[in-house]
Amino acid sequence: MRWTHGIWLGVVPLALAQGCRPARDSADSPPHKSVVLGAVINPPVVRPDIQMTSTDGSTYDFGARTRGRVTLITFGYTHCPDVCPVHMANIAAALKRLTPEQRAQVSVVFVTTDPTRDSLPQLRRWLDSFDTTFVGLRGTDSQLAAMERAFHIPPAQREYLPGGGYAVGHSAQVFAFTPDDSAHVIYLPGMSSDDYVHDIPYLLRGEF
Amino acid sequence: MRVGGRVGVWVAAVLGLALAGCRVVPVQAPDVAGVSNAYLVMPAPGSPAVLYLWARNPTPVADTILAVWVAGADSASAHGTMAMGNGMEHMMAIGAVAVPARDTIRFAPGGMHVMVFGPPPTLHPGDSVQVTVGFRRMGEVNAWATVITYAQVDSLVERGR
Repeated sequence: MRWTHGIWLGVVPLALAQGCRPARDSADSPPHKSVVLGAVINPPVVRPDIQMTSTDGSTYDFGARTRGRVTLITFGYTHCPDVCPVHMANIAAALKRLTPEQRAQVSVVFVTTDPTRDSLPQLRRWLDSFDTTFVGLRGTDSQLAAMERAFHIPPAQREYLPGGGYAVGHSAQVFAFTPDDSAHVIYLPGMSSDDYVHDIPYLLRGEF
Repeated sequence: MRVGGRVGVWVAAVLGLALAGCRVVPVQAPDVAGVSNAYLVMPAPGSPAVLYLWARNPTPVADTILAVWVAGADSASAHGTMAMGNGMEHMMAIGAVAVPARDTIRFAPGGMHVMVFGPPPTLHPGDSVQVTVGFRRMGEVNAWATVITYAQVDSLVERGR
C-alpha cells in the first residue's frame, strides 16, 4: 500500500486557460458588476448542439434537451475521488435548498471523460448517489472531443499509474448556462453549496 | 461500527482506558505525532473512496509521511493538486509528503488527499475506520477516521487550499 508516483488528474480551470476575467473593463462598454459568486467568463460558451448517449441508452441532444434552461454541466469520471464527487454533492445539496419552482428550472449534466470504465449503469449508479435527476452522458471519442472543443477545454488524458490502472486528467470546472443559451459563469473546485444557492436564482433570471 | 486492523491501536486503547481511570475516552494515538480531523468519504459503488486528515509533526525535526493504510481497504495512495504555472493544474500522485518541524499538513478537499481503493464495503456514515500514517522518523501513527458522505464534506471538512 505504498504510495505511487505519476500524474493522476489534470485539472484545467478554463478561467485561466482562456484568460478568464470578469466581463467588464471594456473600453467601450460600462463596467459589469458581477452579482454571482462564480467566475464570469468573457466570451461565454455558447450552448452546443452535440449528441451523446444518456444513461438510459437513448441519444441525448444536449442543445435541444437543455435549451433555455439553467444548466450546470461538468466533465469528470466516476473513479475521481475528490473534485468530481465534491462538485456533484455540493450541487445536489444546493438544489435541495431551492424552491420547487426554481429546482424545476435547473438541469445538471455530467459528461464522463472515462467512457471505458464508466459504463452507462456505472455512471447511473454514481449519479444516483447524488441526485437521481442528474443526467449522465457518455460518448464516443469523437463526441467527447467535440464537446471538449465546444467548451474550450483541453482533451481529457489517460494517465497510467505505476501500481496499475489509470487515472484521467480532465477539466474541473462546472459551466452554468443561463436561459440565453450561453455559459457566462463557471464554478471552480472550492465553490460550496452555499455559493450555488446564492447564484442559481440570479442565473434563472439571466443575471450574472 | 469500527473497522480496525492493527494490534497497536488496541494497545493504545487499553492504555488510554487505564490512564483515564476506566472512563470511556476516544481512542487516540499518542501525542508524539498527531493525526486528526480524519474523514473517510464513502464513494458510490465501484468507485474509490477518499480520505482527508491532518498530520502534525510536533518535533523540532522535519519528517516525511511515507505511507497511509486504511483498515480493510485494498490500497491507498496520496494525490495532490499541483499548479503547473501555465494555467493548468494537475492532480499528481505523491510519493512522500514532507511535514515540516512543528507544523501540520492537511489532506483536504481541493488539495492533497488520500485515494482509497477497495474501501470496506460494510461501512456506513457515522462508522469509524482505523487509519495508520507512516512517518519516516516518528513511525506509524494510528487514528480513527469518521465515515461521512460527500454531502457532508462541505460542512465538515476544511478545504485544502
